[in-house]
Order: sequence, then C-alpha cells, then structure tokens
Amino acid sequence: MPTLSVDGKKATVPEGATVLEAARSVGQDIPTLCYHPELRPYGACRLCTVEVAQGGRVRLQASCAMPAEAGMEVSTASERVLRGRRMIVELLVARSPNAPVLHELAARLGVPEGRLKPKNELCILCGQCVAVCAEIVGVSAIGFAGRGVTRKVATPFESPSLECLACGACSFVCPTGAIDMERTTLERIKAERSPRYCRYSRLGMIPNALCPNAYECYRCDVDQRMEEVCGTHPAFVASPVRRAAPLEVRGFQLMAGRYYHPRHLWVERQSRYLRIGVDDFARRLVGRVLEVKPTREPGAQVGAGEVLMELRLPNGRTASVLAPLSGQVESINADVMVDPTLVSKAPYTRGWVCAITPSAEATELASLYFREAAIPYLRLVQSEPVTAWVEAEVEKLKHLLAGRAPDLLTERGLPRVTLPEVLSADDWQTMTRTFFGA
Amino acid sequence: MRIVDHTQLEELAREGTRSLCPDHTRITVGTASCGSATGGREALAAVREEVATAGLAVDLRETGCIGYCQVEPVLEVLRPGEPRVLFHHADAHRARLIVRALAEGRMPTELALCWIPRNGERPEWALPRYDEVPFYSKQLKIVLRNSGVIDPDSLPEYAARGGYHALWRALTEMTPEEVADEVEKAGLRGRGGAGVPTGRKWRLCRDAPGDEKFVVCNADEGDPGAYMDRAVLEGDPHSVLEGMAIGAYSMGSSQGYIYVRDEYPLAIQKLERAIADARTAGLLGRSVFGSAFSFDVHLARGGGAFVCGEETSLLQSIEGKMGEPNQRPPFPAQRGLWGKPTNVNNVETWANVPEIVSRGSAWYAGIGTPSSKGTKVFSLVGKVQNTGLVEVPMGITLREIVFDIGGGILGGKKFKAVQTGGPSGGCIPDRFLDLPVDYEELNRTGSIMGSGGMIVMDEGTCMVDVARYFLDFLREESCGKCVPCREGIERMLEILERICNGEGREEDLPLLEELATTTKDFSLCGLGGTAPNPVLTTLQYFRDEYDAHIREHRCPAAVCKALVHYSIDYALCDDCGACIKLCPSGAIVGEAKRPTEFIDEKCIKCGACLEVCKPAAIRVQ
Repeated sequence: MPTLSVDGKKATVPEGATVLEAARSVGQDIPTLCYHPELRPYGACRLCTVEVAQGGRVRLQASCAMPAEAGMEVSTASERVLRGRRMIVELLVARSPNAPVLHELAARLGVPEGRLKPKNELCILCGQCVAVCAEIVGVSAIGFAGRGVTRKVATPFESPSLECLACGACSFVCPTGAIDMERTTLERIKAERSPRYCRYSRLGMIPNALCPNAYECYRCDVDQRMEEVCGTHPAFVASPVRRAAPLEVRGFQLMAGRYYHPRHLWVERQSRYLRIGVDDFARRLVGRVLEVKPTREPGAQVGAGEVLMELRLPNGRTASVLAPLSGQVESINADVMVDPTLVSKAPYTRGWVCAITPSAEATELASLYFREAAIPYLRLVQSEPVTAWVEAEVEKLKHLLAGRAPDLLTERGLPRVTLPEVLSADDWQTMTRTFFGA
Repeated sequence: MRIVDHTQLEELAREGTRSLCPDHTRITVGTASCGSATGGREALAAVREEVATAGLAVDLRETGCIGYCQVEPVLEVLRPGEPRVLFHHADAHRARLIVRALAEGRMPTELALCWIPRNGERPEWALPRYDEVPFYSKQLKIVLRNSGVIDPDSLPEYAARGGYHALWRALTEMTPEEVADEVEKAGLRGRGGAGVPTGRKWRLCRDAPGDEKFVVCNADEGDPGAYMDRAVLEGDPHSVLEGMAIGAYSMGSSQGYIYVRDEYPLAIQKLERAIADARTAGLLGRSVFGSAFSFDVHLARGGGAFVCGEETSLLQSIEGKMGEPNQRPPFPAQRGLWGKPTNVNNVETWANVPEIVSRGSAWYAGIGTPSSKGTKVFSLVGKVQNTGLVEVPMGITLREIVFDIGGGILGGKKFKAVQTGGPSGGCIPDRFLDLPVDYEELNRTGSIMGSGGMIVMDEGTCMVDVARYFLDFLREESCGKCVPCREGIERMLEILERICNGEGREEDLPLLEELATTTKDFSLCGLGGTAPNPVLTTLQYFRDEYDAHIREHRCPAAVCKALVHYSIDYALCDDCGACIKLCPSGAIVGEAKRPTEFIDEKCIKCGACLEVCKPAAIRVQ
C-alpha cells in the first residue's frame, strides 16, 4: 500500500494503482479523455499529464498509466501542467469544433479561442471504442487505420465488419458522439438475411433471442431494461473476454466453461461426449509425465472412481487418473500417447487425456464444481464455490509438505521442484491418495 | 566445424589472417550500399576481367564501407611485404588502370589516396599515410574497426581481427555479473540517441524476474541522411552478433532479435549469412562454444516506419502489431517483448561491446569526456567538402569535425549551422563550434546526440525552411497515437508554411513556441518529445530570420520561393542565352541569345537560370 502525496494531500492506494487513481481517491480531479476505468490505460490524450517529483527528479508523466509509488510527490495543476493542458485542449477543439465535451473542458481550463484554423472531425482518436471492442467484447471489429494525420478508427479494410455484434459498446464509450451505431451498423445487420439475433444474445447474455423489432432497439423492452439493470453498457457486465479468461486462484489457473472434479480433473462438454484432462493443480504436482498407460480401450465401459489410466512419472513414481463419471470410453488422445509431456505442458488444450460418453451425465455433472464467471444482475449462471475448493486444496498441500527444508513450495503454495523426484515413495503415495484418490 | 575450444578459435583466426594477408596480391573493393551506388560493383567486375586477362595471381575480395563516401568507390591493394594502399574514385575505368599497373609490377600511387601501415614499414611513395589524410586524421575507429577491412561474409577474417575472442573470454573467464560490471565501468552509453548507460540498462533487465528474456538489436535506422548502422551491418555483421551474445550471456537471455529495416537489403543479406556461419561454427545456437550457454538470433524486418526506431514501437512491431509506442514505465527491461524482460540496444552500442570486453573497461573509459566515453560514429553530410562516416572520440569539437575532418564548407561559402541528431535534432549555430561533442553538451544547446546524423548547412540555407522541412518529415512519420505529437506537429508545420509563404503574423512566433513546448513536454514517446527541436533551436538562434520573413517579407538566404525575386544584371550578362533556353515558364524573353526582359509574374522561381548562369548575372533577392 504505497503512500504518496498529491498536491500536498496524502494518498494511500492499493499496490498497482495508478497516479490518476491516487489523485482521484483524495478528490483531486484530473481531466481525461482517453481514460476509462474498465479499460487498459492507453495514454494517448495526454490530458492527465501531471508533474511527478521522485528521487530528486521532476518529470511530466501521464497519470493514467503511471503506477503510483511510495514517496512520489505529484502536482496535478502546476503552471507547467496547466499550460500544456490548455494547449492540448486548444488543439483538440480545433480538430473537433463540434464536440461539446471539448468546449466544456475549454471553458473550465480557460483555453484561448480562435488561434488555430478549425478542422471538422468528430473523432478525437481517444481509442476507447477500439479498446472496448477488443478488451471487453473481444471481437476487435474496429481498429486504427492509417498513420499520423491520416489516422482514423475503421473496420478492417474499411469494409463492413463480419465480427461486429452491433452491441453498441463503442458508441457508448465515445466521448464525442463520433460513432453513430444505430444508424450505420444496425442498418447493415437489418439488411442481412441471417437470423436476427438480439445484440444481447450476440453478447452471450440471453440465449438464442431473435429480434422482433427489426433492430429498432429504442422500441425494445429488453433493451430499455438492460442498461437500467446493468447500470452501464451491458457489454461491460457481460464482458465475453473476462468470462473466457482463465480464473487464477492462488496461482493455479482454472479455465472457464469447464467442470472440475475433486480429484483434479476437468470435464468439458463437447458435442456428444465429455472431454477429460488433468487440471493445473495436478499438473504442477506431477511435473513431467513420462508415459500415459490407459487401462481401458476405446469402446469399453468405465465406472465413476475406477482407474482410467496410469501416469508414469520421474523417479519411478506413478499417479492414477480416476474416471470422474461413468460411461463409455469414446477415445484416448493420440497426441499424449506420442508425447506424454503434453499432459503437463498443455493440460487444458492439447494435453487432454480421453473422451467419455457419459451414462448419466446430468446428475453426475451437477456434483462437480463449475467454473463460469457469473453475470451479475442477470443471474444466468450460478457460480459454484470453485475458488474455495482450490484454496482448501492449496492449504492441504501446504500442510502435507510443511516443515521440509529446503522449502518445496513457494509462499503462495506453488511447487518449486518436481515433487515426484524429491519425495520418498511413501510421501508420494500420500500425495496421490490425498489429491488423486488412488 | 563447431568450435568448442580456444585452439580451434585460434585456428579459425589463423585461417582469417592467411586470407587477410595472403602470400600474393589481395585486391579489395568496397561494395557496401555506398560503394555499389557509385560503381563499386562495376569496378569489381572490371578488376576481375583485367586480372583474368593479365593472368595475375590475385585474391579478389569484397568489403564494407571505409567511411570516406566522397571518394567512393574505394579499392584497396595489398601486396606481400608492402603496406595496404587505398585508391579513391576507383570506378571501372580507374580500376582497370590500377590492375594494369600492377600487372606491370608497379604500384600506381598516382591514383591512390593513401597507404595504411601494417608492420611499421615506411614505403618510398609520395603518398600520405592514412592518418595524414585530413578526413581520417582525427578519427578513432572502434565501432568501424573492421568495416572496409575484412570481407563481411568471412567469419575467419572477423576472427583474425580478434572477433569472438571477447565472447570466449566472457564465457570462460567472467561471470554474467562481471560482464555487466565491465560494461558499466566502461561508461558505454546507448548510441541510439537517448544515451542511457548501457550497463544500467543491462542490470535492470538482468534483475527483472522472469524465466525468459530477450535481447534486441535496434537496426531501424530511420534518420534521413544517417547510415552508421547500415555501414556496421554491411561491413562487420559479426561484431553485432558477438555483442548481442555477450549481452545475452550477461542478462541470462537465450533469444535475440535484430530489427532491421527492409530498406537495407544488403544488410539483411550480410546478417543472414553471418548468422548462418556463426550457427555452423557453434558460436550461435545451442551450447555456444560447447558451453551451457545457448543463444540464437532471429531477424525481424521492419516496414520502414520512423517511429519503429522507438523501442516500445519496435517491440510492438516485432510482435506483429501496429508500430506504436507504449508509455514507459513499464520499461522493456521490465515488460518487453511478449511481456518478458527485454533489452533493446542500438547496432553501434552492440558493436562496442566485444571491444570493451576484450580490451577492458579501463581502456574504453580512457577515451572521451567525463560523462560520455568512447567514440561516436557520425554521418557527416550536407554542405561540406568531405562527406562520409566519421568515427571520432567523444569530446572532439564540432569545429574539428566540420572543418578538419569535413574540410570546411563547399564552394568557399560561410558556415551557418550544423544539425545533429537527425530530423528531431537541433540546429547549432557557429558560436557553439568549439563545443566538445558529448551527450550533455549537445543537450545544453537544445539539440541531441541522436543516432549520429550530422548535417552541415551553409549561408545559403534558410533556417525557417529547414525547420519546415524537418517538421514535414516528422508529420509524415508521427504515428498519430497521442494528441500533442499528431496535432501539435501539424499545427507547427501549418505556421511554418505560412511564414515561408510570406503570410506570417507577429503572433505566430509565441504560438509556435507554445506549441513546441507542449509537444516536447507532453508527447508519449521520444518522437514527439524531440520533434520540436528544429523549431525551438532555430527560434532561439536564428530568430532574426523569422523576423525577416514576417516583418520584412524577405528570406535572407533567398530560399523561400514566395519571398524571393529573380532579376538579371545585364551588366554582367555574357549573352550566352542559356537561361532563355532553360527557363521552363518563359519568364526570360530575349532576342537571339541576348535576354532583354524578365517577366516576374511568369517566374516560378525554380532556380534553373541561377544554376546555368556562368557569369552569375542572375540576381536573387
């Protein structure tokens, strides 16, 4: 928790906070145009530039992207800062004379008028639309094109984007109203013959909803409710990017949209069958896998809790993979048979171990942990306490390996070494019994 | 053959010495980009043909740039027992003459520039020694030590000049920590422009947590008129590879990238060859010199954007993204290529490293000024007698570079300014000519060291026009990400164009100054941060020229077309009629060959008449 001084006021902020956040936390307002709290700092408008004195040096730094450090002395409105800020606003007003937000800023800062020949652009290239599309919605339907004075926001090759969901998040964040969503993209989608999925359906918030209003969202009850319920643009709430991002608990990663078995296996629903692999926790325990020895041929039946395959590990150690649910073995991953190290190298992707057609999927899957970031407000999916489970497992591991010198685990509880290589046969058996059930 | 011990390295070096000093005549032709452009390739072909005709036993080799661009193509002859002899302007015709003379057993010293001593021999020729030639007299070659001497495609020749011995020394005698210490003690600073102490930069990357690290060589030399890095890459590519390998060993990296602009096809070709040779010899790749250290280098070719010379943009470009800068911190040493700790150094910086390691930090720190050590390569161009690449010790004065090495101003004109540091450097007036060249002193004048461009301007240069020219370049090259650089440069250019057109207003200058200060202080990266330098320095040192443009509607150097008027001084005219024939707009009317009238409204001020008029009867005001 670094403490710094902002215009003489003491600000204590969490680790990783920016100077801008620190300043705002003590009520010092710094104007911004390209900053959005939900987006990665972009640092393009330079309006939030402040003077930072540190280690005997005074530097001008954009506060939105500058990490706050202990002992910094920040001046948010020194003469040098204000002079530059005025000039920047003057430049922007000259670029976009029809943007009200700039005139408000100009009036507030006392910017001289009429010194520069006005252009007629509405877009100030703050990049928020590009960022929201990439970082929140995850489709990157728009980006920057051109360089320097010809730079602009555009779809790839300036042809209509096939990726655009018409969610309208870009239009929502635009400070100058340069993106007219309703009239451009929606018109195009209207003209398409494809099923007219609702934009909230495209965002993954409402399954399979078709638009009954010819994309005139202002006539739609759902649309009217959405922003009210979300309190912001629904894209920020639904955020497909964040939902798909792996969840990290104590340094162990959990992929989204998968079920987790208490014996450290993951289960993912494919079209007809379930795919199974080991999770991040398990792969860190076993280290390198030397050989995968399946006990069942494809087509054979397996019951929940029966040994599905043996993993041969370094130092003559082994570990068993137990079937998380009963069913018919559909296939064994040929890749891991050829390169067994894939099991621990790419546990969630190429290193899956087998596929099973379950006999009683519904009931058995319900007993597993499900990792799906919930969409608050809408309560489409209820999150199971997967976090608590991983926390408990890490504690168990720490307890088992406590008091060994040198420390086998990092402070967070991640193995430092290849455990099968250093643990005695008995210890390893305890480990596998505790975490893999056999 | 993979080299795994010192005797093998010595054997490689001996092979190189045999090829550098063979027991018959060796002829070397400079065929780097500069040599090729002036006919080096044709000279090479001519030599080959003549040698075959005469049946001479000659070892014919190609080499890189020896620096003296003014006298290209350069050819070198080495006969056993004699010093090396350097021939200037050795185009195909003169090359033939040289070979014919050699065939007669005679050294054609009348065509030669100088001789270069080898073993202390002193020939009887009426020819200056290498260091008696003014252009070379004050130079000290560290970075360019091999350029123009060895065949860049020959690994043995590089080894013969001490190459890869530094890497051997680092790997076998020094810890990574000691290597970083040595570079820090040497006082080497980044040659790309900013002048950050290299050792400190390495340490930052060394200490950054991360299992994977990268070292990057910035070879995206984009300054107009600057070609130091090209010369090194074309003439001595192994020195960069060796420097990078030493840096990688010190920082715990195993992967390197060279980001080289695609406009340097020959440099790319030489680098590819050098990398392949070094890999075959086990000097790059898995287990260098058979040790536990592995390091490999990849080439990344840049698309030519000026901003990609800025390190964060460069890394973006290597990653395949749009070349745009990111705010620092985090510095590349903390979060660089693909989020891993990365060290970026310029070509010239890397080329210094092997020499520092093999000759020791004390030797290196003994050269230069208290704050800036070693040498710096400048590309000396503009209105100067001798243009070329000059490598001089830090602390040399501008006067020595421009007048002693450069031979003074062309055509006996007066010196006006020298612009250092590329398009975003500043223009330094004559009162600072005795300034010792180092990072701090140049900054004090408002200019920068930059990557080493040095453009000399004479009295016929309009400083307002110069500022306009460079801002035009920078406007084209600004990536447009941040407001001050994108909008600020455009507006400054708008004002400068207005002034050059004679439409300048009194209130333009304070506004120009305000724009320049904001762009300098508030821009995201170094491009915007230095872009206003041409404006600020010309405003500071040549304000009278701005005033003349604005108040008197006059361009003192008679450059700005809207402000100059041509006329004919009939008293001087010798009635040759050349101007009448040449004038593209029919502004000069005459009877037969005698001009009788000058129609001002028709004149487009192209200057063609001015150039063609022998008795200088064309007046420009």
